[in-house]
Amino acid sequence: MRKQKISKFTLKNVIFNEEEEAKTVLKTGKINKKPSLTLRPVIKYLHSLGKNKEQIRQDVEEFMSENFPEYISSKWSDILDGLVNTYTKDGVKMIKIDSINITEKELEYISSLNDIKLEKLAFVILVYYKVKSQMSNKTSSEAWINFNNSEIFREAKIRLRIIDQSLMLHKLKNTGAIEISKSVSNESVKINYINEESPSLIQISDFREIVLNYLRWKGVARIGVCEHCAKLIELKSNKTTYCNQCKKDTEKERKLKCWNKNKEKYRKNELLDE
Amino acid sequence: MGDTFFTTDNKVILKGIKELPAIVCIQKTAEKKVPTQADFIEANKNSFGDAIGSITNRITSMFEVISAFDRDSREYKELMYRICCGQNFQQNAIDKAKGIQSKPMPKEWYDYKTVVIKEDDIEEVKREKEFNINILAEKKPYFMNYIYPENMKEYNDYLTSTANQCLIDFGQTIEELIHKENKTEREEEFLKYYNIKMTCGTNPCIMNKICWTVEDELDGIMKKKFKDKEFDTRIIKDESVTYKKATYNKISKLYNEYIDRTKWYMQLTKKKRLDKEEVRKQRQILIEEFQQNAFNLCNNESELCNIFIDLCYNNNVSKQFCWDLCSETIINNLLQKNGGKIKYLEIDEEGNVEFGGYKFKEKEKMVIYESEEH
Repeated sequence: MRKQKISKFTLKNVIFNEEEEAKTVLKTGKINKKPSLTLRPVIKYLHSLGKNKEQIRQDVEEFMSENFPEYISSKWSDILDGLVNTYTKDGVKMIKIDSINITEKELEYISSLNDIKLEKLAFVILVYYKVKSQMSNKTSSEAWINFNNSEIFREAKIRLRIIDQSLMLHKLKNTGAIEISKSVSNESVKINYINEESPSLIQISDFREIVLNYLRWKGVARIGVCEHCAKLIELKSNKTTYCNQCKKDTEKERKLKCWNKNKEKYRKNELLDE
Repeated sequence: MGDTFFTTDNKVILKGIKELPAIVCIQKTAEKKVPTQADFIEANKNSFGDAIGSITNRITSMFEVISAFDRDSREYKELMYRICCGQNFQQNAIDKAKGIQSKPMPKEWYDYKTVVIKEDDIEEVKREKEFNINILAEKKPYFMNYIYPENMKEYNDYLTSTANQCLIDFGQTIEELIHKENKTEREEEFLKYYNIKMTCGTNPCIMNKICWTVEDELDGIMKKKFKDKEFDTRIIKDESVTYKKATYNKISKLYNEYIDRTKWYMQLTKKKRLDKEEVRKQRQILIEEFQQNAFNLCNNESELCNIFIDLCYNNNVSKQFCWDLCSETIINNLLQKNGGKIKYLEIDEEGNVEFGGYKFKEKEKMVIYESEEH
């Protein structure tokens, strides 16, 4: 069977500082819902300390039995062997991405698309490519990337049905910004507007709310920073100080404080009602 | 599974029979000897990893490929010959346990790598390879997606990715592209390789046609049947019993854990094609474990039952969980509401309900049930 499968690049599984993550995991014992995502930086870290495959395999076995409630050694044996073999190979390095830069020429090109939705899409695709490129540490003359459409559109804050997402990418393709692979069932896309030779205008070190970096540069929206988690937020009014999640959390905290302060009074009122 | 010898007057079966000459496979014989323990060990080892399954599947693939050709064509005749030879290869695979060495099925019949046309091939070789590529039995037929779940997944993934690619590249769906007149060279190329790279054989062999007929018949039937059907859960609940929200939340958390574990296990069973009996036993263990955990959180059966009903029936999730854990309580609730009576159908020639060629009459019976005092 002639098979060709290219995995899609996703930002949600990227650990930007694997060494830091590995140290935290080994200290806290906290394992991701997808254990392989936790084990990847741990194995690489142990390998960087000079441990051999057998020692790493043993350490990982102990770590999982102590910290993963559903761990059964025989069921996980093949998976752990595979992970250890993969992440101890020569040339496999720990990922550390501090920031990525978007240059003047790249932003000029994106802006010249003259359609805010296409611009946001092009910006997010570019950021994804740059992160992937730093992770792989390989230089290539052509900038190819395979991504999940829904994820890209969610990051770009463009709400469209799946078919319409593909049609918008078709529109972007018609501008010449991207090219589609000629190989059938290969959804990889080539980016034609990379230009790293001009000065950097946007430096992204926080990969939450990527597209707001572009909107801030473009000046089409008022962008601020969440007082609680320092995430970029769109300032829809003068009162906006938190992102949506932190707003919910602070409201919950406030209600809990209020309840704790006044619980005797509330309980007395309940008894009276009865 | 075994051979069957039967007589029939069924017209459909009789119409489908092809009278062909009998295939006699000359069975090779093993060397005569008094076997030692070492011989038994060797025979056991030889019988491991027999290719009988894969050989049979290749022959099935040939049946799918042959349906694309005319009976008088060279391709048809060659494939019929290969199908006949298939029985010999099956016999050889079985004889492998006796230590009999035999020729395997030629790779040119099923492996694309052996028939790839190279630049330095002479014309005659190129023509022969082209012919073999045309009748290559490398893909499992479409209907086998229902036997091998990983093949079905691969097929669905292929359809999704090519549909996406077609929309992005051409701004059209694949259907629209196929029906488009005056296609560009790029569009023609896309469709050509779309068919070549299809993960399964989609020629109209008999099994594929049966599969498509059944699919068309059942298409959307589950959605039509269960869409917007609102079920009044008060019928199966004990309405005199209430529960606290805190208890509901704890049970809900337990429910989510159960779903995660069941999902993981069902994926494993499909991937590894585990025995049905083993799957049933494992499911039973999971159910008993969660039943115990649920009773530790709430030891009132009726209250627990009401919580499970609300969890499952108020959300768009499977109701199986609810019935696995508290079916007896639900039945008790129903009996209580109906004065302990059940209605059932009994075979009766005078009956007014017809089913499966028999007549049934509705009867009523009192059933002893547990009634809780609240």
